[in-house]
Amino acid sequence: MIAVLKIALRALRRNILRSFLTMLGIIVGISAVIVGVSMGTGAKAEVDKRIASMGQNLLTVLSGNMSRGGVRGGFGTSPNLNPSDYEAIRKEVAGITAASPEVRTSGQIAAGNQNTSVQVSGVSAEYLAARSWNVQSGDNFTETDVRNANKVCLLGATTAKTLFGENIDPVGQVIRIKSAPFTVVGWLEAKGSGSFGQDQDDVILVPYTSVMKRLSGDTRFRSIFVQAESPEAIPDVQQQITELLRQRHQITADKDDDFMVRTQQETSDFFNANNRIMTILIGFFAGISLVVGGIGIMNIMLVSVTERTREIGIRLAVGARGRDVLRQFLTEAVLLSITGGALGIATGYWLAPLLTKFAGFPTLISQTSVLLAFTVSAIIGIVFGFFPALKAARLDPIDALRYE
Amino acid sequence: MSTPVIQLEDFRKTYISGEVQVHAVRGVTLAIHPGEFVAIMGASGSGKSTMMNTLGCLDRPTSGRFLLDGVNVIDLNRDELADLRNHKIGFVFQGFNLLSRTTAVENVELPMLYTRPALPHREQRERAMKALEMVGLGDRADHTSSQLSGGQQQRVAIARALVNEPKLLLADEPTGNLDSRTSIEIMGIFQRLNDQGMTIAMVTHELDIARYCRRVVVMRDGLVRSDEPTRDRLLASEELAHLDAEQKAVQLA
Repeated sequence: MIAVLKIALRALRRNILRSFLTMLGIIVGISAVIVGVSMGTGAKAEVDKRIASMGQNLLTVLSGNMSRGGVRGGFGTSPNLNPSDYEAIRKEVAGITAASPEVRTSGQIAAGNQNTSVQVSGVSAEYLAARSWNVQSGDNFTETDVRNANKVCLLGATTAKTLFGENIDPVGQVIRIKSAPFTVVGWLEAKGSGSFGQDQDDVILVPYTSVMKRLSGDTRFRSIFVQAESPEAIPDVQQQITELLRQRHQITADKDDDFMVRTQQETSDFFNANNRIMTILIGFFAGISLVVGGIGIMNIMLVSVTERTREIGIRLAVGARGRDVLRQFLTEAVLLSITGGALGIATGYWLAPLLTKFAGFPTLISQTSVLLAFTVSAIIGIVFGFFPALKAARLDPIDALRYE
Repeated sequence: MSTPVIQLEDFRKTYISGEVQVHAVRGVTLAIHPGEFVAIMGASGSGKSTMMNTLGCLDRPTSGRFLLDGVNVIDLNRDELADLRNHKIGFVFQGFNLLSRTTAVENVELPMLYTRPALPHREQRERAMKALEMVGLGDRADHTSSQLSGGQQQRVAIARALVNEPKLLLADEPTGNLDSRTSIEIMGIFQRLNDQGMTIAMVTHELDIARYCRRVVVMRDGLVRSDEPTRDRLLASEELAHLDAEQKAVQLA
């Protein structure tokens, strides 16, 4: 076997440029596979990371899905979740550890001579727990603050920086939200980008009652966050909330929900569906490139067999069997394709980080994709090398010896 | 008497090219015994190349019987023929047929690459070196074919033919591409091998070369026309001494 490998290596080295050009098709195809798959896994990892940053075992109840005259407005277009829906979920749904509604408003925020426009989210005291969020200074607001619609707030890391400057603890300061003074009671830890790529830290959290009564006048929620006690409890909690809200909204069995209960898994699936399409598309083009590369190998092996007809004749004359010749040429083809594959993998390793650096696309090279690429390239060598090798093996020794 | 190395009985070979049937060999009965040194002579088209291909197990007779060292070759498949070529036959060609850009010793090792069971590589190298020394090229083992002269290349080819200790050495116009002095040197190697007991069959159309053999078979139109011991057999050593003397005389003059 080592002897066969040595012969093959020597034959390929003899035409080094030709061997390299032949491998090029495989190199391009395999590196495309590596980079393409790395983009898919990279994007998925990014999405998963962002979704996990939202909190653990989180379900989101979205209002809306209003349809008027056949036109669907989409979720969240028509806030129809009442405070009583929220209370009902808290009281009647088993297996939840935290729940918080969300109402949003935006407006001018001022502190001293700084002012900015930030999204103000009205939430309950359980919101931080549901989203596994901590304060780096001060405290969360309390149930009492919520009940009394007190003018207290928590500042996100980005907002705090904008209003008070870097690394300055804003706790105890007073800011004006739409000219109403709110006391800062807590400074939130930085959380990074959310699932839509938005900055989750550019936010002000206030009791939802304060937003409804003092800032926006809304009486309904656009969404409610619910944290299940464990991953296993999620489907059950989802089921309970759906039944409860259908009943409360008096939706008959033949009508669609006017709300939606979405799990993180569903959010993740939603984003990853796009990634999957992209991965499949790249995989398709990489596959075409690999087939073209394989045909290139077959072509060059056929040339090689013709060129070396006399050599084959000599080998047959001194006692090589057909299968010895077959093995020799097959080894050469596989060596070509796996060398191409290895170079392609190396190219992929080199290209993927460049893509991240210059196009900002998250990439992650998985070992599975490397293994897969290598196997595929070996298979290409075997498949496309077989026909030329068979042609060589079937040569008649006399004709082959006489070949000029 | 011992088993003949070659036993042909009413050997016929017919090629079909298009509609025409070409009767290349039409009924040859011939036996070659161990230790013989036979020249097969004939003009082109006499059927001697077909004979050679058949004796070398590269081709099978259309009809008749062919026993090689007691084995009936007609019944064998491609692989079994390949094994016979590997174990029992050593080939020497007119055009040397060495692998280019490959060293002498690796060329000699070539048949052992296909020997079953395989020999360990060290032993292959030892045997190849021994065969090269036998033809006087021990010091050229690492030269590639292109770095060797025609005579040296043919000696490498002989070493390759001998390396698996065959029963029969077959040579197809072994001196066809060589000058007369080198031809005599090659015939000297054959004579020495024959003296050591090697059976040799050689195709040639040169009468001078045939005179180094012990027996001459003449073919014409696919049949054996004569088959007799060599008259006035030449000895390579004497001829070479003769040539040297002549050359000296020319230089003196």
